[in-house]
Amino acid sequence: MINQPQLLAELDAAIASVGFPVRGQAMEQAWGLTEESTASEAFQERVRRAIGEVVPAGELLLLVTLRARRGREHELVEAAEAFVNASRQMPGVLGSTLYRSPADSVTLTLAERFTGRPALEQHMAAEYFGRFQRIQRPLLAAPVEAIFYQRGASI
Amino acid sequence: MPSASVPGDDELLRALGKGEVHALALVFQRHGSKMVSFARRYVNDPGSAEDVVAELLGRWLERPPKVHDAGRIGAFLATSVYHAAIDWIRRERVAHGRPPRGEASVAGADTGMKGAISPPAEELTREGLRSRLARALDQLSSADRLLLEGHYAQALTPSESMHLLGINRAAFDQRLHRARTRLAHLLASAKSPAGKGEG
Repeated sequence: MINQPQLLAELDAAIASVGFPVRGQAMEQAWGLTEESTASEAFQERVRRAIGEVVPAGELLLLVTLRARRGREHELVEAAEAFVNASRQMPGVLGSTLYRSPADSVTLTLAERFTGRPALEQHMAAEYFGRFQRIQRPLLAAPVEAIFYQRGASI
Repeated sequence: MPSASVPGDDELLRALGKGEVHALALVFQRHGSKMVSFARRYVNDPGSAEDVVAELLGRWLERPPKVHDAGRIGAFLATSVYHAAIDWIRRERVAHGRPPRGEASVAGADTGMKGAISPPAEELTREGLRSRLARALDQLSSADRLLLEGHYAQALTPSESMHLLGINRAAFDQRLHRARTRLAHLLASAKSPAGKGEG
């Protein structure tokens, strides 16, 4: 016959030996309860550089963040989708994808990949680019933010 | 209302699993700071938490992660950071000349422990004990599991568990004790070939 303190001590030892399995559901709850604080600039730069180093030589990866005014999200999405479709036809554009987070419905992110700087310049000089600039202006709540990733540098 | 045609977090996670660099850059942009805050739950200082997340992202750049449930980005990131932090702590312990907690305990269990929960002769592997533990946990209520996940794996702090379950400290202590006792009895009973308790 084993007494309770001994049984609990055995339980603790058994769990220490194999670890305790945690359900995704509990992790998700912990994630939801975690307050976000800003990571250091050094950390941000270190990770951006690491990401830049895996971009194929010469190519450019660009993340563009667009924040819509409340109530204008649909118009911005519509204009951004037209922009993405037009971009994909342009030679030198390797990819263009629009993302939206369910947790933040006013924020859109455009992920664009180019064969190099000349392709980016062509893209920025295209008619569809100018049109998107004009349409987006009254729809935005904040200036557009862009982060470039490329081998050997991050901006 | 998200547009049906605009990819959300699920598409982002799928792209991450395929090794798309833009997906990793976007995950980092959207969630990098929160991943560091989450790692702080397990490691002592902000610098170490940043190391944990930078290493994790570095591993994903070399080998894309396996994404099983693309619909739950919070669960995926939290679980990934949690495991990365636990690995980091283990390596730190080894680097400072201390054995990983688990290995020290297993050595004791394999050599001398002869109690109700200790592995029977035919089940000396960790895997056996692990599957017995999993079966026992399946028989507990979700609330009991939550309390144990906080207690044994530091998945949640006591305050967070109390908040989620809507209970005060006294009830927390009592329910945690009961949950541990239930689990101990289930494990002890699962050990016996006939499924009968020994303790």
